[in-house]
Amino acid sequence: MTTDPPRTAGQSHGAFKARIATALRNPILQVALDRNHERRVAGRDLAFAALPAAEATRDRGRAIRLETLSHLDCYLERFAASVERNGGRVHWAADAAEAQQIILDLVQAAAGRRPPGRTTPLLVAKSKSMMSEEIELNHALEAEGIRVVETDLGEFIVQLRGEPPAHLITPAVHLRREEVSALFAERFGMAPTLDVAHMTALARAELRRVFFSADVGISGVNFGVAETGTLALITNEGNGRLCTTVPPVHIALMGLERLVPTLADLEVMLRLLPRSATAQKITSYVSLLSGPRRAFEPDGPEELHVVLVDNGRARMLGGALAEALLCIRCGACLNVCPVFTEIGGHAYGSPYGGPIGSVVSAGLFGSDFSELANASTLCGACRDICPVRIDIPTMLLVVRGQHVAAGLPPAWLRLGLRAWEWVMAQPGRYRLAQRAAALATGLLGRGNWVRRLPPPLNAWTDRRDFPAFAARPFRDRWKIRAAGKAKSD
Amino acid sequence: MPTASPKRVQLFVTCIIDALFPDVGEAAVRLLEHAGVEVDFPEAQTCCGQPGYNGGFRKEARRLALHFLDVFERSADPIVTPSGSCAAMIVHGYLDLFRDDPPNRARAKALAARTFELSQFLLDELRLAPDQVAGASPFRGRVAYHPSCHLLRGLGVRQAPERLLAAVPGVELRPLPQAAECCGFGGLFAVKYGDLSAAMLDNKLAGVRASDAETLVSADMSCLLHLQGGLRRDGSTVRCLHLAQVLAPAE
Amino acid sequence: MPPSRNFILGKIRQALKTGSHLAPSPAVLPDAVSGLAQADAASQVSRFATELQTLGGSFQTLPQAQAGSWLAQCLQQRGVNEVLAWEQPALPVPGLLDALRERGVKVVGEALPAAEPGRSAMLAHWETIKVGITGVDAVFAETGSLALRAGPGRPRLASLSVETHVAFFTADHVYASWAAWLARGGAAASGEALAAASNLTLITGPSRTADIEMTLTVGVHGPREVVAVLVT
Repeated sequence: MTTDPPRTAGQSHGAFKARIATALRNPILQVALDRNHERRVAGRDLAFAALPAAEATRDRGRAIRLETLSHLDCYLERFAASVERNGGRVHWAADAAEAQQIILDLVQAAAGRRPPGRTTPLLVAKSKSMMSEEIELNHALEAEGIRVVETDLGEFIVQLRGEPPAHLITPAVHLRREEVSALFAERFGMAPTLDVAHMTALARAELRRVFFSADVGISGVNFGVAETGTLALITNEGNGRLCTTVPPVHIALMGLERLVPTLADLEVMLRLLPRSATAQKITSYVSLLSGPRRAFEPDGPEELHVVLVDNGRARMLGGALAEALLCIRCGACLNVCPVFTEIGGHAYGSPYGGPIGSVVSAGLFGSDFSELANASTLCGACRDICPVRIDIPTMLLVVRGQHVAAGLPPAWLRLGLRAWEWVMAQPGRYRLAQRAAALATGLLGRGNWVRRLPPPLNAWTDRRDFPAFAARPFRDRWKIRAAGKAKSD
Repeated sequence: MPTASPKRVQLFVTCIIDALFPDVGEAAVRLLEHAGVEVDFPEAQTCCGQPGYNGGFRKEARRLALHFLDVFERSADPIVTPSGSCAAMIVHGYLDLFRDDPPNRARAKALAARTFELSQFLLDELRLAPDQVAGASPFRGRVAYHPSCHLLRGLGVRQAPERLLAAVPGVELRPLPQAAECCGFGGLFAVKYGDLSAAMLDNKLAGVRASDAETLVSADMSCLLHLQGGLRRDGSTVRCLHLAQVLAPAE
Repeated sequence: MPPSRNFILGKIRQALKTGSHLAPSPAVLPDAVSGLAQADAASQVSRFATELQTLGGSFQTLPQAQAGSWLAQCLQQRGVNEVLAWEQPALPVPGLLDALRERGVKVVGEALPAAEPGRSAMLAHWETIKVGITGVDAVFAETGSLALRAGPGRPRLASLSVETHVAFFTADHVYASWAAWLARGGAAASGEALAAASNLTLITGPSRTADIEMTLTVGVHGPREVVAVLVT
């Protein structure tokens, strides 16, 4: 069970375009993405329509996240102190490598808690964590002979297929039941079926063995509450609860920005997140974990470790992309995005895809990932749907600015834009350029439209005609009109 | 309905309309004059800088934004433009572009306060009745309206264009499926990610076909450049017109 | 103190010193408690029932005296003679567990040993139990949710590893919402109380997934069946 590291995917314009082309040609993916878009967006709109004071709640959610980030150092210290007061242990990881090492050490130490005589590889039951994708945790653990099993149904499926998740909330969004059926038939000898309930039951049975024999449970964290040291996990399947209750050691992995100050703040975020993510008022389970099992409690993990990961966040906080750290990972901007709906999550080649992912990837992983932000029309649907009102289009523009500042656009574009600026900065040049363009398109076109332009503009005419420039532009007509008026006056 | 006091505006015609679709500019002038507005055209205007801004070429975009400010600050009259996306550039984009330049940011902010997209200006600013504006239009036909993203979500102009279209006696307004979804133009995006842009175009054109409209109307010629180009390539007889062309009285 | 802690906090402080990219917070915030808080107890209970049933949960009202025999009958119907249960003091029905024992039902729920091999052996047994019996700390009308806290005699798995979860509560447990509980639930709903137990779970209906083709399937890893019983 290995997952290809997403970061090996090339991030050049060409490589990205190739992945886009593959996605556009995949009819199964296209059907799945259309369905995701239609259902999720309609459901989310209904859920918010039924929420009293929805807009004010969004304002409040944004204010809570802004307050957290503006005093992140204080809240982190308070959170860490609270976790330790509850009997948990806090580990700080500056980057992916340090986080991997911390977790590896914790998992290996858990061998000391094994029942005597057990010789199977160390087993980790994992519930959904985007951070673990970000730091490529599974690879690091598997390289040390540790078995890691994803237990969220969608994650379980993509892990069996050797793929990364295709969506923040719905990892197997790109698959139909037919693919899942074929996969389970191959891996578990299941008789082929299109009955989703049957496939789910099979996964339940497989994973139940994992929960009850795992040495360690690893989970993500939706929110950490600074006041109480509580970890909030917002889930539907119950795998998150099992991973954090049954194994003797629970390791919770979180980005260090994922905090809220108080329990009351958490309650507000809980009104926003499930509605935005899955159109639910509340998910089946909201687990609030405050420390390991206490001596007086009958069950629960004996150890709780919280790994706080920076991996670029502190740097991002000081830069122009800081606002993207408000994100609560609901995935609504992916669902509504017309680009994501055409290409899905894998095409982005980053653990974080879609509109917010294009910003976050550039913010965390640097300008190698800034090309992603160019794959947007800046249509603004993401900004309208974001529960904490992140101005994603403006953030995408900031990334594009960084992309240009790093000298990454192709030469034709850099030269083209410089020429455009030179022409447009002076009305006389502009008028001359208009004449030249009218002449050129007049020569190229038949009638008023051009069917073929030379590269790189052929990318336009591959699908669309282009209009010829007007022989008499508006400004000339205006002059004639003004002259006529002057005469008649 | 109170008649607006005599008004004068500066027309920012946009470079696309100037160079590719001058008829649209003329229609906008007719429409404004019919509504009792005197139109001035500052001839030193060029481009608002949006292509550079959207492409991440902020330095180049800033230079053109400064040119725009210089040209349109010469008069205190409101600035009206027949483009949702250029209006959004001036109203929102300039503030971002000059985020680290307080003096020019203040200039941009002052100009933004008197910059309007055409339909927004007529209905929301002048508070004219739709039939006062569009009642004299000779246009006849089945029309679908494509709300461009920058007008709809960028400027929050959600109703003005369709209210105006509904006031044209000869217009039969047809609902456009998934109207609020982006057409896939996106400026440089249409060239850098041509096949992705084309896939989004296909979705939009499927909606246009389903609407059974003869004419597709929008308040942004950049979207229509892309949509008409696609319709022509498909051999469709649907023609694209700017809102002003449908609303304006005969020449 | 591990070096990364100070390194990271230093970077954050530096970033906050230079970073003016975050907009100021809006000043006006809405009330956290919904209008449902003003509704009378009966309409809150009925809202709770509606919400829970919409999600595929069951709701039942029973006089206290009948709760034991009703539960025993339910178990019998399912062919179940063993339950994973909270201890009697944590349940709002006096004598409930004795009533089950009298009818031959084995009640499990003593603390797991902290060390091996006892811990896994007992877990392996718990894993086979089909029905869990719990009380609640509160129920929330607005969402049809049950709030269950870990504590003495309150195994977390009684609401988790079983196929059917039966939760007993009384009218005193009913709040309009989680926000209302936080505002009016007193010490039990406080941050101190939360931090004093390893776990508080809000449970809303049965376990569910829509990970395959967005087709809703109930009973993935958690219970397929959630039965909330209001004891009068």
